[in-house]
Amino acid sequence: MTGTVPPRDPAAQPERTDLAWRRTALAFAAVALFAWRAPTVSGGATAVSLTAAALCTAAWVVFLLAARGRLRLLRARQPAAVAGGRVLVAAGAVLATAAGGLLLVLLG
Amino acid sequence: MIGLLRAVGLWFSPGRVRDEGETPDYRFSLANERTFLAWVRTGLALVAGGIAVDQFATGLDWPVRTAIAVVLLAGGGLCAVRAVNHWVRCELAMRRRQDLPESRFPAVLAVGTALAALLIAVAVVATGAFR
Repeated sequence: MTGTVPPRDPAAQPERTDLAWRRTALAFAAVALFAWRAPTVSGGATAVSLTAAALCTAAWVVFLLAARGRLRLLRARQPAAVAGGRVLVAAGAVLATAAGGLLLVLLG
Repeated sequence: MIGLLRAVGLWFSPGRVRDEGETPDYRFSLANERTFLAWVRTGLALVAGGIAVDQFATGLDWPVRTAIAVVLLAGGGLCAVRAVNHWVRCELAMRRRQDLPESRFPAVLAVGTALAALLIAVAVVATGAFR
């Protein structure tokens, strides 16, 4: 006990936030993978279905990059609030995935 | 309405959030961030549901199946947009030491989900969609 160390975070907040990003990235991976069912298993590998699946995968990669950057910042003892730009990118990736799904459903 | 327009403005210049008020306890901001991520996952689940209806409910007529899938996918996109909006509003409220914003969205989403489930159940029973 030197007195210079801040008290232990009583609710492990950075760790919980870290895990929230990780499970969101995992859920995103499942959706991105699922988008490949149409061009590979159920339908034909048409230009539209391949484009849609590629769009969902690209969105997932973008989300992963955003999450990775945030995980690095969350290692701080008292991390700053997430930047608004990162929030926008994360939500934009979900929007892109929804757009990919619409492409698949309407034109695939 | 003006509040909504202001919020939309903040979505696209979210750095301005940090100019307002004073920084709250970092744990509150992290909790807000986790709520945002929970809404992102809700949106992703709806998107996955939309794709699943399209992929698996192949016994349904194309218009019915596509309509349900489109509603689910649009709902997923809406959840993502609303996730940003709610994150911005909560962050601002905390910085200004105001009450957290009220929202009807969770209730609307719950009712919508229940209706959608009912609709799909009826469609499946009526047409034997998954046979």
